[in-house]
Amino acid sequence: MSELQTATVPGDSAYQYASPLFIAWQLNSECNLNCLHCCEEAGTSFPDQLNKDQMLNICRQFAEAEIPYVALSGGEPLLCPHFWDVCGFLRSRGIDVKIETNGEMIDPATAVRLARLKLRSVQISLDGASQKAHEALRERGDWRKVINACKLLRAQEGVNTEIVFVPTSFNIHEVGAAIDLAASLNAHGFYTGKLMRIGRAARNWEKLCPTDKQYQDFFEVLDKKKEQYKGRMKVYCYPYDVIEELRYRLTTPSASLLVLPNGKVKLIGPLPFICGDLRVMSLAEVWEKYKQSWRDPRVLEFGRSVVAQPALVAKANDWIEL
Amino acid sequence: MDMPFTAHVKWRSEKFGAVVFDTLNEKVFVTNGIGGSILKMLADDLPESAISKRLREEYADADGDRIESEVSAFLDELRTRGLFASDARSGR
Ligand SMILES: C[S@@+](CC[C@H](N)C(=O)[O-])C[C@H]1O[C@@H](n2cnc3c(N)ncnc32)[C@H](O)[C@@H]1O
Repeated sequence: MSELQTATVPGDSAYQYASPLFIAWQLNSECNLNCLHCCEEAGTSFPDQLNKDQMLNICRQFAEAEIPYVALSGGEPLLCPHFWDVCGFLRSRGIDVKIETNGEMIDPATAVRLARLKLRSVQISLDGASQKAHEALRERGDWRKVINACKLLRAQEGVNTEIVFVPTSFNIHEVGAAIDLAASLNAHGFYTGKLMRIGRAARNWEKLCPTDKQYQDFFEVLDKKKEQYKGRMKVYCYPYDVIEELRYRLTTPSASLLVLPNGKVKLIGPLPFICGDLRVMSLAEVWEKYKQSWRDPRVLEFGRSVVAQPALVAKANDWIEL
Repeated sequence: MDMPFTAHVKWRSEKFGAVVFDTLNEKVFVTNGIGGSILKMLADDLPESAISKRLREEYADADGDRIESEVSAFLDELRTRGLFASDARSGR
């Protein structure tokens, strides 16, 4: 009668839902770093970035549509002047929020403020167990500030800190040590997955892409560490690379939207298609357009070409409006 | 709204019933209309016995004992999946 049927993959089959289950929102494109692998090519602000009223209007629609979960990213979201307003609003409406940050702006006062928001998690990018590897990849970055941010969050009650590590030829050999470091910082989880060939990572691909042998060693270390930290810290590796994910999504779009700093909505990271604009369309309209767009022949054809020729994913940031 | 659930479990009604999202573990569960009604009653803080009673009234033609065991199995499933905040409901 009332059996709880499990959906096999989170967000399976967008078509069945009245509104998205998850929103990935890039609040800004401004960033204090210049990461060699940045999939967003973050750096300077968009000229048409959303203002505070527009952001809060979008938040209101998320609440009305009962969106359960929003991830706030960037650029560097802590540089967005409306970050606290957005976060505060979403939390006041019971929406779970994850923030994705490089951690460098987290000082003692910010750690307290973040803890008060009772976020789902604070995700911090740590691309090396050593200062050298992290800073080689994250140009202008300061590894010590990141470690300090993790310590400040650890001192707060109830903050789930998640460490994200992106493997490249610069740092892949440090994954085991990075997991140990995350555990010593009482991280809630350690997350990783293959480098995506998008944005600056595509431009720097030859320099950054790990070899097959490096990936093989990386996965072996992850398996061991998963066992070692079982019950203490989640060690998770996203099982699909960007192309495998895309192949799957072409038939089963996820129940999620990717909102850009100017309010435009992208179908999915590795495709260039824009399916709506939250400055001029309602969330409900964008959601309908999103679902239709996955059946648009232009999307299917281009998506299949990307699957056949993965290098095409490098065009992901050359937007095409549907 | 999310009273009996852990802090990071959200649910909402859908045409087909309801969707439950454990955001911390990024796991999504779906259930049918009756599952959705049970979730609504849980959110209204109704004890298990009251939930079964309401459903018996609503489905007067159905076998009452079966309704009770279904409700109990559904709650067990939520519990096993770690969606409840505590075992406070196990005694009710
Ligand atoms: C684009 S960043 C934005 C948030 C923040 N500025 C930061 O550095 O974490 C969001 C996440 O994407 C990851 N990321 C960036 N480029 C990537 C790529 N090419 N492949 C996989 N992950 C990537 C980052 O490491 C980070 O965890």
